[in-house]
Amino acid sequence: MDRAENDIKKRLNRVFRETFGDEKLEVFETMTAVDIDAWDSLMHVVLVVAIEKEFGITLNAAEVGKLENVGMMLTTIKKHTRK
Amino acid sequence: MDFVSVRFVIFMSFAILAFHLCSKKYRAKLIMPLLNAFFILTFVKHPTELWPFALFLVTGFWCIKLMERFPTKKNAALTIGAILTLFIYVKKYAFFSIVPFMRGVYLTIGLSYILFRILHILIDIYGGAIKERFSALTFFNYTCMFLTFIAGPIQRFQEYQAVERNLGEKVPLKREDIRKDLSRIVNGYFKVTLLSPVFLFIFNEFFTRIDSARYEATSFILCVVYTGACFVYTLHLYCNVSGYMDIVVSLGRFLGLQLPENFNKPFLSKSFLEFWSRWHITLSNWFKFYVFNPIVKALIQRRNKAGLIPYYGVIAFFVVFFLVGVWHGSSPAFLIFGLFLGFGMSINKLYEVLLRRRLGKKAYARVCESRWHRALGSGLTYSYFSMGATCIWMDFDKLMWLFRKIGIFGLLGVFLLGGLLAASVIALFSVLICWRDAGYERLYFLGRNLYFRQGYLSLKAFILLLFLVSKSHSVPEFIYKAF
Amino acid sequence: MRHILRETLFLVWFLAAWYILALVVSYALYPDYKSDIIDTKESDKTIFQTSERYIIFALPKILSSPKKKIFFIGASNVRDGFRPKELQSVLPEYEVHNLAVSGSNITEMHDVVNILQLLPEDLMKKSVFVIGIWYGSFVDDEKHWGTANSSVITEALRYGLYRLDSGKPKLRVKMDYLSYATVLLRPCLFLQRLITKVYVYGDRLRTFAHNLLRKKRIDFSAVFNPRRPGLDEAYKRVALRRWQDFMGTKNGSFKDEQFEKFLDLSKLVNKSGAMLLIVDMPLPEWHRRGSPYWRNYQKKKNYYINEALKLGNVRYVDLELEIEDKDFRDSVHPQPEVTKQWGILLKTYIYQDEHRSTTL
Repeated sequence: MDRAENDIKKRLNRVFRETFGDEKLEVFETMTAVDIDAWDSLMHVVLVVAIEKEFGITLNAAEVGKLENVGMMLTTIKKHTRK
Repeated sequence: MDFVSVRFVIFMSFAILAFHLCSKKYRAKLIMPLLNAFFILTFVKHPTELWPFALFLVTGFWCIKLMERFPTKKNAALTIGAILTLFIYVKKYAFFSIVPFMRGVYLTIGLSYILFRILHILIDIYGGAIKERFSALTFFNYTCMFLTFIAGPIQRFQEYQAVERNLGEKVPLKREDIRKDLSRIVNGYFKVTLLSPVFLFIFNEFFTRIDSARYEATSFILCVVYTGACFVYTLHLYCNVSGYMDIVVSLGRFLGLQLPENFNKPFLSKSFLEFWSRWHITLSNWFKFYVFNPIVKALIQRRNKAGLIPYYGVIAFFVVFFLVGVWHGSSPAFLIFGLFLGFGMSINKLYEVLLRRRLGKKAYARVCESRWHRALGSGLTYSYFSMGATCIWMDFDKLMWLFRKIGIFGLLGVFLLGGLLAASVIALFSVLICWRDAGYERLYFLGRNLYFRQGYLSLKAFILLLFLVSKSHSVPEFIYKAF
Repeated sequence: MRHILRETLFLVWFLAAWYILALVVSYALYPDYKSDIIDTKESDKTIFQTSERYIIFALPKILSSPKKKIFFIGASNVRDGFRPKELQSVLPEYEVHNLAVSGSNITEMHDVVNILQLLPEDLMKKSVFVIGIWYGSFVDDEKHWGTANSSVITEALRYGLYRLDSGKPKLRVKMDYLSYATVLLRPCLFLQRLITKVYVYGDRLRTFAHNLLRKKRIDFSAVFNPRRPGLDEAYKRVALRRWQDFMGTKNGSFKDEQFEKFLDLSKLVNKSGAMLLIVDMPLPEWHRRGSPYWRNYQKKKNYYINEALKLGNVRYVDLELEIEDKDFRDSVHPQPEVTKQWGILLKTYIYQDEHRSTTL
């Protein structure tokens, strides 16, 4: 993994920790809502807004809904920040 | 064309044969469109009954093409507004009666699902999620796919595009998969033509007891009978809709389509919130993507305060379920339906938030995982949903009469009694399934044995056929066809 | 594609195997009834289980011999009071068939006659139709059947063997092929028996629940279960009330509907060339005394019976005085022992010359 990707993952990790209020949280590629108890449809939107804010991107409706796991989040963030 | 008819069997056999025997390049461009068009034609006596339907499709396509070329905010609002307006007009929603409706008989079956598909495409084009241009034929195939025409599932267009591209390839079907699909089709028909009418029959026994004119019983008896009616009706509803979906998804696989699932053991949901990710999944997802998420997002962006988040959820729930109610029909009963569901979601959400705050994260997680909490959760979820479903089988006046007769305490009693009943039945069912699976493990050779499985499956199919021939019960209409 | 066909065929083989198994089991449990006579009292012993299905499927039996036929049509009192075997010895030139369906009103009797009309014309001309009526036969359709067809028509339409042509049942297959169709349908009939059993238990459950919800308990079994030791006063009261509920009208009144239908029925039989013998079925004295329906029926029937008699080749006999109270097992049904006595009486009417038939 190159430095940019690492950087994104670190920042995403921080977003997760802040959103769910859990300092010990560590994200991994296949992490989904099943792995975090508080991650329901409502918190999903909170998370997305936080991600948008952190990375300065705007996601469309389909993307917001389809961000089901961390791996997809990383890919989407990469796609948007590369532009 | 009714799925439970000899005509459909012939049609489907022909469709599968044509699909597999013809040249692969004609599948998407010729065979599918012809099948879809033929299927739609079976619903009308005269082609002129199709013109509002055709108008709707054509308008949808033009709107999409407009958005493709000029994906501006103004155009998005314009096209979405136009499609919605046209839909409301064609479906003759009562509150739109200022403008005279079109006269004559015309086809409206399937329009709601087509509406969802068109809106989804428009919104996604605007958001940049659909970049590839597509032809009118693809549009027609997507919106009017005959298997999903009557009542979904609502596949995402991007998924469909990928599937359509692969239709030109050889469809990989292993024998084991075909067997599984055939089994699922038989089970689907079993649910629809045997279980569903049986439950409807039992339900009618309860329903006739709830008659305001003739009934002199006490409120208590009425509560008990009403609980029973709700319980059985939901079983009937579930067998009917999930059976149809089983048939649709499995038949789709024979035609190389990978249709999404619409039901995933909904009554094992631990909460009402979870229920909607297991019941009519594609519709729930549609509302989540295009109504719930945007509303919550907009509210958060306006004022991002952690304490207000649950209340944003409440607002969004009410809007979503209000729309869900209205989509089912414009009568006041469906309005109550929507509000009732929205209320349930909100209460569930607030309960979760409060409990989490009270117990702290660890204890909360433990409670949620405990057997009792799960059992009660699933039971109460079933009960609440079944009470909501009353709006489908009772009209507004009767609902009001019932409410007056049993009052708010009566409703609460029905909710709790129904919850207890459902929890016990679900628990019993889970235990039986465990035993059956354990039994299969013990009798390893039976569970895996092909002939045993085939014998069991064919027995079900056989009983089904006998049942249909003797027409002991008329098969009830696919419930979601009405919406 | 090959796989789809293969797997479907695999399933079809198994279906065929189950079908053959069901067919064999149905024959083992319910062998084909050897007798050439239709006696609806025996229905439960056959695979048909109910009188209605027996009539519909066993129709070709009637064609098996060239003898003249007597058809007994009516409700369960006709079924119990006219036993074919005993009557056969009294009327040896005729072949006696009892096609009575329990709970028939005139409409249902009309439907049975319509089905019999599907038999060849020359057979009809030589036949005798004995139609047993009592006041209960004249319960109107709305009360008795609601919006549904009579039970005979419902069964006829069930398997698609019959269709309705302007209200009359017509066969979809040729009469000769009806027996083959019956063989093919045996697994369905077998399943029907099982379903009916479930209904019976379900009905018992429903009555139980019904009685729980209502304050008063109506002992329905009192009327139809003749095992009660002696017909005591309490039973008689319950029975009379039960018949009141059955008729559904107030003060023993009748609508004209079934009487008009009765006249149509008489005309139908008459047109086919058959002899019509109208039998007024008797009731125990206490039932006659206690029922306002019986009294009104006596007044109302005269006109219609006279009209029927005018058609010619129609006879009428009132069995009221031909039986004592002790010969009834409950409020309506005669003991089978009366058959012989009634048979001898009917014989005189059947062989009577036309101009000697009595009018009222």
